[in-house]
Amino acid sequence: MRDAYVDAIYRATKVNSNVLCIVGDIGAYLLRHYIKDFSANYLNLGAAEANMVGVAAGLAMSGKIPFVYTITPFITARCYEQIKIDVCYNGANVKLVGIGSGVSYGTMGSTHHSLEDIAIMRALPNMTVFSPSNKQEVEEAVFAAMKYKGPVYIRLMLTANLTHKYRSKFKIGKARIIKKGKDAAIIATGDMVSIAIDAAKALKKNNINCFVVNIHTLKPFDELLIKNLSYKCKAIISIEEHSTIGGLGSAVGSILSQYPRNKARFKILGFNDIFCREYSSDKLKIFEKYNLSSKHLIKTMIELYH
Amino acid sequence: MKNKQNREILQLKLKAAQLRKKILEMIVTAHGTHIASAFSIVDLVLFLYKRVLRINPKNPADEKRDKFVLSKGHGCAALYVVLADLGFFPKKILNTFISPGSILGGHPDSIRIPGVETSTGSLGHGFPVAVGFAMANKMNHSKFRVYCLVGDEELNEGSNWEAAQIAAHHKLDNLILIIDENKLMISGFMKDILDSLSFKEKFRAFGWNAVSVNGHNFAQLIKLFKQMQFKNGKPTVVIADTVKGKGVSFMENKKEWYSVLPNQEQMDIAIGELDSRIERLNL
Repeated sequence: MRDAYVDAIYRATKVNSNVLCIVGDIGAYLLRHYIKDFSANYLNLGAAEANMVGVAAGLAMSGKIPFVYTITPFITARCYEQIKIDVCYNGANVKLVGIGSGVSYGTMGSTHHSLEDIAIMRALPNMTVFSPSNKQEVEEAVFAAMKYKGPVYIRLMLTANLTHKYRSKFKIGKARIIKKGKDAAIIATGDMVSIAIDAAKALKKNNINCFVVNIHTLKPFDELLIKNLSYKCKAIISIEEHSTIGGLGSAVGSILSQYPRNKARFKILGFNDIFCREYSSDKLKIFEKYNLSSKHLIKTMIELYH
Repeated sequence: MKNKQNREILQLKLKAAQLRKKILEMIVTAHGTHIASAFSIVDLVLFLYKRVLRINPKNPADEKRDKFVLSKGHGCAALYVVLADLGFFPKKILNTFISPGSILGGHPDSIRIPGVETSTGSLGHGFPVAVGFAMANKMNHSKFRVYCLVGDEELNEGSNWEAAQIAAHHKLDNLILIIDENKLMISGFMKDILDSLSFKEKFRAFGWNAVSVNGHNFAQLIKLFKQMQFKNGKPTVVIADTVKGKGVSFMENKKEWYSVLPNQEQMDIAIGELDSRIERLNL
């Protein structure tokens, strides 16, 4: 997703010269063509994220469209009050881009993980939250953010294994159904979408025909789709590379529990209120350890469904 | 020339005394807080808006304007009375201060109040945003400047020092930071609780121009801002020596007046002192 972001910000700047690429001292090599071609639009504000977000708010309120890019915990939790006040309270047109979300930096430990970013960003009024599932959606999210006037947070992973090509148009707040199903649904976001697709294939062999839904916009949420699924499906599972508190599952659960026609059983899969203390350069091995593999998803669905 | 300036200084003094009276009445009537902080900065805010800022109260969003950021948002009563005096909004709105439906809260809200550039209240936020404003002006080749007023206690917050580094590195000589150095924190004197040492030395070490002034002396302020060059590739800090609670004798330099309200007897004395000053300056 890093390459996709670098391409997207390059193209966005090409079509709108107000776009700024601000970084907290990362990505200099990947962004070398950007720096060369758009030196006036590029700012490296160093390892000082609180200031970086405040400065971005000032630039945005002067008519610029700053995309502020650094490792996810440092562009969300570290400067949270700047995001709350300088960006959201002011309604400033700032785009925050977190790279390496979830446990993408698998060898680096919890300082570089973000398993609470969706929860805290979703809680802020005025904030829109994107969580792309592949390279195509990274580009779509960047352009949607550029065109939309207001605060946006884009949650990026390091790599993007999902090769699925989306044919429908990317619409803010409108989920994408990847696979139609009948009596069960898996709701996923980010890298979990490909795990959901794998699980759904296996579940079909077990006579459970699952919808697979990609939530690329975590806020505003596609409430209507969840409501529709809730009376069509016997079982719904949400799965996310995030805490089970406050993220995708909480959003789905909040809709289901307040909807009188809901008849689906529901289960949230994610990091269960725990720091990730496993190390691996292969994220799937970490997912395995925390019961977030497709194997575990299949097992959970079979139990929930029957 | 000299006479003209003396007349102007007299007018500023008179206006400042009148605004202090308005601040006091406004806060006491509404059971608000932070009288002493507002008294500490009202001379500076009045001076900037009357003498320095190139602004148009009829069009607060005019692209061709200087920007003022009150980073120490709790002193907002001083900003509100000055904005109303200049016509950013009708004076009668001051009477709605911190009441339901009012645009004027206990800290300034940029979405609701004409003339407020960014919302503040939590310390250490206004300065980085002001750096963003100044940076945008440089990018747009705009000649307009950005003025930001911070408290001395506010400079405890680390975000300010991040902003100070970036402002110097980017040569933002269109940025003027004013420190309201009243030397008092909530719990007592800065020197006893968290000694700020010399702001002048600190900012010079960070690559800034640094000058000092008496923050209640209009003659000094006029002279200083006339001399300022804004051209040497460095941002400038003005360290304003101020007195918290300035203008009402028993409130001056007392930590107790950080947030309490005067009782009726104290209110009568305070209004009496301000009235006699207004009368004296009116002669």
